[in-house]
Amino acid sequence: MRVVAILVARSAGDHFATTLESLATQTRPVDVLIVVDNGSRGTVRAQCEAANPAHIVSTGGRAPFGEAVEMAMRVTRADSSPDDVLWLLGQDSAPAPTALENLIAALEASRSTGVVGPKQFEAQGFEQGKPGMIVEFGLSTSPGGTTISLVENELDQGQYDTMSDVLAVGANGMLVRESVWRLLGGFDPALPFVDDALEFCVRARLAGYLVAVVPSATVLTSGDGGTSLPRVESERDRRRDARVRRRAELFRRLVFARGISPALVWLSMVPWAFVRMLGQLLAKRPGLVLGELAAALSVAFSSGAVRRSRTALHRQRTAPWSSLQGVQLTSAEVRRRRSIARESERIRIHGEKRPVHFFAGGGAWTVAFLAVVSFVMLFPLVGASALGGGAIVPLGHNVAEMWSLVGFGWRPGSPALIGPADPFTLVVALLGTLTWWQPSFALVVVWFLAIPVAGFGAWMLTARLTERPVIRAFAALAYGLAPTLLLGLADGRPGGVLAHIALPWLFVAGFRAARSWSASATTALLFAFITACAPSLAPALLVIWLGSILLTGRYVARFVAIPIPAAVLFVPLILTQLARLNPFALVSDPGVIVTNSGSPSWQTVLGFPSPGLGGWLDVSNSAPMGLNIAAGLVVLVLVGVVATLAIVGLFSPHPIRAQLSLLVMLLGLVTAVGASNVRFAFDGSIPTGAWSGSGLSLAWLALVVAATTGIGVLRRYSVYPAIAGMLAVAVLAIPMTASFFVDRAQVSASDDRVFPAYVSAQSATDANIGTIVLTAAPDGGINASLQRGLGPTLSGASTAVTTDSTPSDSLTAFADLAGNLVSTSGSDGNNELRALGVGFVLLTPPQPLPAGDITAEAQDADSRASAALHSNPALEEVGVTEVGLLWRVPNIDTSVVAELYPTSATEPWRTLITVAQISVLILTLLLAIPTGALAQARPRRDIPGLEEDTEDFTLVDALGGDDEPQN
Amino acid sequence: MSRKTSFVRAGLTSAAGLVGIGVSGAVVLALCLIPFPVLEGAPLGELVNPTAATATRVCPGPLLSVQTRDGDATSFVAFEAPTTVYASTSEPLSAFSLSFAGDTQGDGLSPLAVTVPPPSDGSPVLLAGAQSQSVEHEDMAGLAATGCLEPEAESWLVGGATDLGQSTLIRLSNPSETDSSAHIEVYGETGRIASSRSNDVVVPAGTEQVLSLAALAPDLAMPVVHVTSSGGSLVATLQQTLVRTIVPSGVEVIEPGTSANTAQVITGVRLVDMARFSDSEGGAVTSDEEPAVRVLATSLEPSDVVVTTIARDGSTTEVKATLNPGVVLQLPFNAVPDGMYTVIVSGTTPIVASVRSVVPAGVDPAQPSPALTPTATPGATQGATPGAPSGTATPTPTPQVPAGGVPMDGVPMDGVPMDGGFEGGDGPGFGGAGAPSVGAPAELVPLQTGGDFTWYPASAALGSSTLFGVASAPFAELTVYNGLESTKSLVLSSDGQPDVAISVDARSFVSVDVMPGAVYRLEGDPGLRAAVTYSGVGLSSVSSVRPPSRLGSTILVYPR
Repeated sequence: MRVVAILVARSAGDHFATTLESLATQTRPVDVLIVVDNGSRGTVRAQCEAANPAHIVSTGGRAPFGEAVEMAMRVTRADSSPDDVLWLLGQDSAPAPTALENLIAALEASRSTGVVGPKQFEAQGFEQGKPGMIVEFGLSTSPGGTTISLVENELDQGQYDTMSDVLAVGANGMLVRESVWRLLGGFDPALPFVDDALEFCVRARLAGYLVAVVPSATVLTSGDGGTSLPRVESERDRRRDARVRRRAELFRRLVFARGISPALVWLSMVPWAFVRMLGQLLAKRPGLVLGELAAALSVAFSSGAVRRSRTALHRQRTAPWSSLQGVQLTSAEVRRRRSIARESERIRIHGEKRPVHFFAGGGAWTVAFLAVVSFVMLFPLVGASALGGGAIVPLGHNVAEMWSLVGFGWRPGSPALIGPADPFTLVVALLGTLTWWQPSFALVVVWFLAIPVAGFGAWMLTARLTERPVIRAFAALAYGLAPTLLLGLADGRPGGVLAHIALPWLFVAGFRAARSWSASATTALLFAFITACAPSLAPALLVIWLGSILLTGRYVARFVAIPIPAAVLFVPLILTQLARLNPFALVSDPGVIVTNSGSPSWQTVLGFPSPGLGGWLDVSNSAPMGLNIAAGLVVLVLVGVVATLAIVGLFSPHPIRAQLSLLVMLLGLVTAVGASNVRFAFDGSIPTGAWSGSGLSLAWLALVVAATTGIGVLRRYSVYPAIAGMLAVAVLAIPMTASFFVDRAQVSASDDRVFPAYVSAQSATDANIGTIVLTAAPDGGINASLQRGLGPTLSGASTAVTTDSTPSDSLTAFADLAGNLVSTSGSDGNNELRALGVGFVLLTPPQPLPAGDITAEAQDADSRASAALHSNPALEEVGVTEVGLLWRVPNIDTSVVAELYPTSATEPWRTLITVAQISVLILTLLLAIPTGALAQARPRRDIPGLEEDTEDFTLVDALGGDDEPQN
Repeated sequence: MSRKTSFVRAGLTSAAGLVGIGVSGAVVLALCLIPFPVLEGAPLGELVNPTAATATRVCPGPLLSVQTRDGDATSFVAFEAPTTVYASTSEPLSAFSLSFAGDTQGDGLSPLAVTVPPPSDGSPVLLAGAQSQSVEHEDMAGLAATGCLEPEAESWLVGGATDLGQSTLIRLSNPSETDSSAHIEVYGETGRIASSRSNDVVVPAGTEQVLSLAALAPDLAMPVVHVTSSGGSLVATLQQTLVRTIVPSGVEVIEPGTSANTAQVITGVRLVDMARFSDSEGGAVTSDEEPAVRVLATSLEPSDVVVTTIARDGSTTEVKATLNPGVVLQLPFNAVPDGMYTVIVSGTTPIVASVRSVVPAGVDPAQPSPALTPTATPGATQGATPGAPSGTATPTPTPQVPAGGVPMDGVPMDGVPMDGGFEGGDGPGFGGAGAPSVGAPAELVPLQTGGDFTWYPASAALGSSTLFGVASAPFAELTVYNGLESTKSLVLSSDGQPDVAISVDARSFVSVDVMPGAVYRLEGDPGLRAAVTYSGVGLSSVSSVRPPSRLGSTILVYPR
């Protein structure tokens, strides 16, 4: 028996030298050594002179392993004999001295054994006499054909030394009879990188030979030889690796399929790829998604290679398929192996997780307390099925209608406008769907949950920063009772309240975003949610995002991708506003625009977005001035307590955390003051800025975080400053929690109607019926809007309409109609009203100035409109309703309305935009859904660049938590 | 970590902390103190010029005398036609009579509606007229002039009374082609009157409906009537007759004032015989012989009211009071000498107001004392050349129908039916008349009258071009008040007369004699207010000068 060792070297170097050395010291020397210079450009030749190989073959490039072996075989063909055996080695394969001897012994033991393979050890850190790490020891497949390495990364404690018969062995160190090699035609060239040895061994088995592993034969491998894919070094390698493996698997499945199943496999390949793509998303491997499709497509369209391989297999197969049974793993075995892997991964991950002690740490008590506060404060709303007042109108009237408004299309509230919906519409539709039987009820739920959930979020956020329960309780209390939240609840600011609830969760998820796809996607969704609810926060949040990228170097895809869903949602709106040359309108609040009463700057900076310091000041001026000054000082002191704690934090053990928090607080304050000064949405004629409360939510959260560092300064005695802080915020909140009882709150329980009952009754049967709403403006003009059906809804409102100041034909025509309606005119508007399908004209009370006064001009315009409408013969007076004077246009036919708003006019943009937005969101959602620990299962050393080393997070560590022992 | 590095760290932390405090403090202070510029979008506002409509004015028609028929039933009887003048800037001017609805006997006499269709070029139409009637009957005597009015959906009628000797009729004219429904609210010195009867009246198309205010609100000394209509717009007026004991002491057709507002301007107020009331300082005016300012706070809030009386020389006096919502109050003039005044009533909440003046018998308000000849007012400076020379109190009225005006059929505009001079004593020299002798020729029995009274309605701000009619009366003068901040000028023109340039200083007024029975055009700066005041011996009245209804004016619409 002659042993021909074929050493395929891709490069010269230490590994190659070691391999040559090991070959020279074999107890059973190699008879013929053929070195294949596979792409080293001659350096190999120089280095292996000493080993004196029989041949040095140069591939002239980098050939796949199988092809390189094939080339080496050609030089030995002349003097080959059937007794020859081939020993396949890579440049990094350093066999132990007895390796060849033991392999040959195994091969000689049985004539039917065609292929044997050694036990492969990790070369790095391998020491003679100590148990090594087994890298590979026999291969098998699942019943479906997935490659399974029987032993992977396990310490060799002799536990596999009884193994012999296997389905396949790896190419590295494989000893194969030359006759078998020649019979089977070597490795399949269609599998150039992976699974070549596996496929070869399977064919050997089907040709009637046995394949075995030899535990006593040992080969060390460094993983950089040509026998398998190079080890994964980067995310890109990982993607390529997965794609190549998947391709090989699909290819083998097609080749080994029997009967009619090739057709079935082929047909199902691409559709199945899509399913697997979703699966990869759910498994938090978004990088592998495209590879799935590429692999399926590449196999599906390589029918020539498949046919060749199938023909070869057909020709070579002599043994029955059943000969694979026993060495192929059963489904049960595969499941068992997976569950073991999952278990060990879970142990690994849980090992690094720090429990938050929600119940033991007092979190439950704090949240329960906040829930009680919420219940007491909102007690007048108990039993409400819908809310009204402030910027609250019905969410929508049914789920289908709300979803039809998402994306792009005809915008309600304007005579004829096609435009993008606000991302907030999506939020509203989602909320409304939660309580599908009455969409507006969702807002009642939000109102009652706002305080406890906001507090819970702040608690979870601080739980990442400190172990001390009392500090966490302070944060929960301070954020749950934030003046801006309480005022948002009282003033009816759904966007602001939702953003306030979500903000702490954004940071909770954001802290983990760089490390986990799930957290990253959650962060991205929360980012989109918050910017949708309060677009004025977007600049500040983007600055924070950019800042954390620059400061921490978290330029990984998981972190960089955070704003993508928000961007996709906002793109149509951004383009629309840019086309209108109105970019500032982008930061306008979505939903119904209500005039800000414009809190003075100093009150805003103290955290109060609407004037009166949340009830501390007496705005009616009936109380003496001195009392107001005293109350203002009290507020200053109370807010000052929290601010002092934050300032103390600058000198605490976590100064960087405090510094960054204060920076974010300033960002929030600038946002708050800026929001009220950028006024591009119109409440009738009054330009209105965004609600400053959203910026204050961010500022207050940052202030609270900074204050927690300050509280921590006293370590064991931090309970005292924490209690002082809690008392301060609690006292500060008292007037605001009372606002629903003293009639200061604008929000109240409502019957979910905006329009008079008379209109509602008509609209119930005819949702297209139009209502022209006229309101006298403070400057003596008339605000006119065209509503349909039951009137304005939160889902129907859009900034495309509320910020629109571009003249258009339809608006001019509508203005003309409205102007004639409020005048004694030669035209009674009858034809125009009928052409628009308008059934009602509603004159609402005059619009007050932001400060609350109704001007004489508005009174005048109101009486003018009332007089003109009263004497309009085309209108029938219905009478005084709770929302204004109502007239009816008798006998109208609303079938014209459908023609006014043809769906065709909105295509194809409507479909394109909606599909794009929804799919991005669903993909993000799939990524965000936590699917268990295995999702992260990945050997740590696989991606050294992404290793979760702490160095990467040194700055985050500043936000990363106290190390002090818990008391 | 060595002590040295820990020191360095502590130092760095402290420094960074101080910088943090500084930066935070600076930013917070800057946010509080710096008034950042406001970036504001301009809302889309469309100036809408309403399609011109047919202009309509209604001259309220003849004075009606109340006839009591069997029992409580009353009916109203017209007995004499008023003198009417009207004109328009556009053609064709058509006039038609409204019929009386209900228990009113027109006896061939009727209110008159004049209309002008909109010009085809859409230019604004000016249409104006005035009527007056001077009577001297045993149940009614005095001069009642009024402008021909544009129908309105809402009218505030401040005036009238239903207590002893007073009778007040509500006259509602509907010149439109649709029936109109009027809702009447009455306020009095006790607050809003809850009537036992329905306050809703249907006024059929093309008719005038007359009601007795006493039927809605009896025994009211200070009523204010608020009429709102739906369907068609209405012209609402009050006709008030005063008989002191048995002496007929005045008659007036009261025009609606401007809508409720925080400031009401009443110009052209001529007060005479004020020496009698110089000591009646303070307190509400209850006597029907004393000039008074009647004020009502219309909102639900109390109103702090200031009555400012501006004299011809620009001097002002003030009377202050606090009004309870819905309660009518009559405030006195505070030691004001005789003369022409503009009264400004301002309130902290919306109010309506008007002024009543009283002329004793035998006194000519335009010449209260023969020694005093009216002089050019300080306000009327250069160029103010009155159309008629001062002192000519009773210019010979000649029918003037300028600018497309046509005289009313059947009613010759032959000036004032009586020629002023009437010597009357104080005591009742005539008595015991049982049934009123309606339509009886006044000349047959020498009748003793008790003077006259006038309700001056609040005047509206005029546009740049206004047409107004001057009713027939012994003497008529136009008063123009400039409540604005700078001197304004106007040109007064009429066919057959030289144009008169009027210049009015800020916060003062100018009076110019005008020819009774003529129609004038005022052109110039907008925003001024005017009224025509009429007088004769023992007679006085006023007719308003009104802009065309603002309901037809351009309006700014903010479409969405």
